[in-house]
Amino acid sequence: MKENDARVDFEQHQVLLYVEKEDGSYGPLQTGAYLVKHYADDFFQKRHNIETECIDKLGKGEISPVVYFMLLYNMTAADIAARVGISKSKVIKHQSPEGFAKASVDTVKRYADVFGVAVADMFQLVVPKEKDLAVANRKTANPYLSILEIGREKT
Amino acid sequence: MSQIQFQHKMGAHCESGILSALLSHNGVALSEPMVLGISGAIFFVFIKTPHMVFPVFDMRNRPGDMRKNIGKRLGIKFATQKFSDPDRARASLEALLDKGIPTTVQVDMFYMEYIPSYMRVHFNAHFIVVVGREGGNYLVSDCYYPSISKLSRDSLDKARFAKSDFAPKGFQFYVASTPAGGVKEDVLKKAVMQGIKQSAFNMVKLPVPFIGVKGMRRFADNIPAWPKIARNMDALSHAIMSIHITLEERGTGGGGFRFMYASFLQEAAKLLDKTEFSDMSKKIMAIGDRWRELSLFVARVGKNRDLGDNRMQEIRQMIRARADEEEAFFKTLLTMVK
Repeated sequence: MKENDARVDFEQHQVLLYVEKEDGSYGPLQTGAYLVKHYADDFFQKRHNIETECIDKLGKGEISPVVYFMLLYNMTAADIAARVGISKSKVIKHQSPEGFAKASVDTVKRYADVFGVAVADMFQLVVPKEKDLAVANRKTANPYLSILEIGREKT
Repeated sequence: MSQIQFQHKMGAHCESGILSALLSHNGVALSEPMVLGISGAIFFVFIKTPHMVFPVFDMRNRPGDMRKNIGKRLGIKFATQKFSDPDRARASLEALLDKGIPTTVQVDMFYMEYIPSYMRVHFNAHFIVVVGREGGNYLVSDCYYPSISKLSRDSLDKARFAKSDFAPKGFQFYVASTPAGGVKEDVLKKAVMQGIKQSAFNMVKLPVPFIGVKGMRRFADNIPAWPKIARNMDALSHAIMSIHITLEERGTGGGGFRFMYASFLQEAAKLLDKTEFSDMSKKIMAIGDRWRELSLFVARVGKNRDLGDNRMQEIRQMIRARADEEEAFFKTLLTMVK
């Protein structure tokens, strides 16, 4: 690949590619990530579609949060089971609201760790009513308690 | 704050990138393409497990093999450790940092909180170098990120003890010793030949149906079945576009490592004074260009949701064509190192 063909003007996400330089030598080029620049909007649209579909089903009590995060992170029940440290059949049971209600607090905590969220996020969806509100979970020394911080983003 | 003086640099791939940086820190100058080539890392494997929604592929050898092969071929000793207890793993890591030793840890990429959200996927075979501490954070050198980053203690613990495929089990390593007087030129020359031979053998001679060019063809033939696996069009599009990520942006240097391998063969040609390797470097660069054509194609049809049966067949044919080219290339390369 010629150096000029590889260049992507995208400061936010850099990658290192190997290219053919003008003098015919091959070497590294730090440049912007092509896929992220041109297709990140599609990735976030897909996520949004999953959220919309799942929030509706969560609200109706058709699925548990396990299904929501499983689809969001494109994971299988077998992989989640291995990461949480329980059997695949238990993960399948936990996919229904009734089955999820029987999961222990410790198991829910382990699910939250695998999905990278606070324990509280396994039971609630946080939706800011105003656009410029930033929401973030702050960890505490207590693994079961996080502090939800809501504030206006600096402009 | 305590930080080891460590020259952070971006790498194309996490394992080859950190090995190049670690060796440089220990006085052995070896480019990232040389690490890739000498370790015989060029590969193709088609993977289908219950832990993945769609089958996947990889174009490098098994995680950890680059380190093992570099050590064996260049006489570099790496000290390695695994742990079952996070407290002991942390204590060991911190003791090494206190001694000024940059230490590589195997992690689940999902917990690298400094990378963008769209990159945070559960992948247990990512490697980063820990180079210091600041408050409750570690300072880490991650080849995929332009600068030294901070990672919380909690996140590093979770990342080092994630479970499932390639579970890190607290794995860490550092350079224990390098040959006195540096790596001798004759050792380096022999290592280059061994690396080429291994890669070429793996690509065309290994009698395993899911590895090398056979694996490429198996992967190609699996693609038309993907619409039946997908839960909806978005999921199919995501899987097809992931081919681009594996080829280009998940740490390959572009063209599924083939551009970096071209760079290696160019260096090898100079080192060994073999013009035929220079010719081969141009050929693998051209093959890399055609892998890139495939990756741009899948990104475009994926975004447009242009994913009918005819497109699946087109992708299949493109991958099979790459397999044919690589079979001819690596068979020729193998004859040059016999």
